[in-house]
Amino acid sequence: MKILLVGNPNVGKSAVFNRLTGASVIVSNYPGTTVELTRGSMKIGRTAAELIDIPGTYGLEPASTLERIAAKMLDEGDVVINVADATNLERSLNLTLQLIERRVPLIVALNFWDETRHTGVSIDSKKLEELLGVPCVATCAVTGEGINQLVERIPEAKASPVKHDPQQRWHTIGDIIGRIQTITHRHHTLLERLGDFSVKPLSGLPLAFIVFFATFKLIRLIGETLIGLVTEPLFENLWSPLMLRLSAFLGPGGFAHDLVIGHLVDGRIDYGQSFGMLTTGLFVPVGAVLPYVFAFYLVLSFLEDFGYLPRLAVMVDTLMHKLGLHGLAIIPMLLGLGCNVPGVLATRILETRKERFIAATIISIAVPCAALQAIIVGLLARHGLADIWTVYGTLCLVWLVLSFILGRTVKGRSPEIFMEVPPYRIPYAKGLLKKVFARIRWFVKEAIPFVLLGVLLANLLYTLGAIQFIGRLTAPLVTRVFGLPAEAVGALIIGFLRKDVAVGMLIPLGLTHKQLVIASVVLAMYFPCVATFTTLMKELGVRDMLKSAAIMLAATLVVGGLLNILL
Amino acid sequence: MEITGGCGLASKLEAIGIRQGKEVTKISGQLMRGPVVLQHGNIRLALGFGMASRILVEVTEKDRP
Repeated sequence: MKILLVGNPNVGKSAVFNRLTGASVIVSNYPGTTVELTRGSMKIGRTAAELIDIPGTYGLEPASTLERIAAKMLDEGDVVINVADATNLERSLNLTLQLIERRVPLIVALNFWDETRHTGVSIDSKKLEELLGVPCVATCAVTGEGINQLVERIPEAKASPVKHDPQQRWHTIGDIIGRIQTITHRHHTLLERLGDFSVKPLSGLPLAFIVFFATFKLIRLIGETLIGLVTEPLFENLWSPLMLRLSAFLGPGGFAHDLVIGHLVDGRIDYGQSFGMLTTGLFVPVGAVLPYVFAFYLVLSFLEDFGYLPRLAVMVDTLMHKLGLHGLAIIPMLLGLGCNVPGVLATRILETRKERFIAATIISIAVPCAALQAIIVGLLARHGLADIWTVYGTLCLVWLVLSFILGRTVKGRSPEIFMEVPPYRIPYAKGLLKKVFARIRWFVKEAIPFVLLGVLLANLLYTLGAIQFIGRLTAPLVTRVFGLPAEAVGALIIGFLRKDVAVGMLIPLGLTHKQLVIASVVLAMYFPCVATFTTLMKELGVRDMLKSAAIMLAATLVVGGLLNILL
Repeated sequence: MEITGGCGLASKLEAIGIRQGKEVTKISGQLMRGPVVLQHGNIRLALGFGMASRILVEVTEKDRP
């Protein structure tokens, strides 16, 4: 049996999906969180069923690509669960009636039921069930209320016997609403006032800056605290003795020893420089990067669930339009600061090819992922904050200038913003943590194998002399244009696998801080890591991907060269 | 306020639940022809300046000072 979840954007379909399947699909408070079909399995009594979460749609007369997907999928399902927003019933019913006209077996979940109370809406769900002719269940998917009842009643889903005139749909809706819904007058809640406050220019712009800096500070605070109090002590006090014993067992100097442990510095393990798979290879993702990734996703997930991001999109829309994008493009950019892969995937919320191309290219060039940032900050912080600001400032400038140029040159349309702004919601702590851990799990699964592979490959290439060879070949470019030593080319090669490992490879080279700044910027810009590369290929297609890669290389040459002259 | 016009935009607005003859409240506008945020019931909608300028409204009594 195939069950489809259909509903308007941002009514909580993914939350219902998670509840029904036990999966942890990302749930956020902005329209367009789910950009592809998500499949899962569930049980109804004894029978297994496939559940498909369909991106939100306002109607079945398709206007955008996503809505077309939704309309097409309807033919495949055996049962449709229509997730409706109980606080916006009138609008939700528009889709419900269209589903009824399609004669699909239907059951309605009235989600956000808990919120109807403080928005002063009271709905007679029994009566609604009668009028629609299909089962209606009140739910609050985030906390799980009403979900059991929903599952129990899935077998009752049926094509509605009620007929109405599609031409008079809004009239029918008005009629239904009048009979089942009573609205009591109420004052604006604090959250609503705060919501409107954050989209007014005079108050919203300062607020956006405050949020931005607070976010940055908070991520650094959480990240550094975790590293200082948890991961470093763990590695130093528990892991190091173990590794030293292994080192003695393998005997220093051997190939296996170099691969697994790396070089000992004064008879001790230095996680920055040893460069063995089990020393640096494990410390980079777990000890140095993970705390920042956790901090980043904790703060971002909070902003997502609270509902700030669509408001930020409104505030930056004017600027983004100058860059050939629109306000919503800020969401993939922010996600890209965690990892470029979900960032590039999220560009699907943009409507046109032009916007998606610009956004994906800009993310891969000028939006450094958390792993890269963690290592860059760690490396540069020894010389004070000025260098860090140079790197961020340069990337920010590249982001602005390059998207401005692309916005003028890439053919296509950048449509105006048209987006529903959801209400602010107090995040549900359990749901929030679940989401953060789902993202962390994903990071660990994606990152650790590539980091280990990167360290392994770096060691092999050094031993075989390949890096020295390519270094000599590319020396004119690397040394003359960027002013870096020839050995730095090793980092550029490994950077394709994992950029954090690549920056780590710079540590033993003893670079000056001018060189460190240039190397960091070049590594961030020159090419996406392999995971992002394959995602770009999938999202843009081979031809656009090649164009995008050419832009990256050209931009890197220009910016790296300029930095070498200017600094 | 009252929406009295708007071209291909009408169907897009209708799908979201804002129709001709309904009351809307303008929450905010941005500098330099930025997007406008409208409210209708529990719905808040952000739309570009161009689209917003194609919505004609009639100011109702309660908006007048």
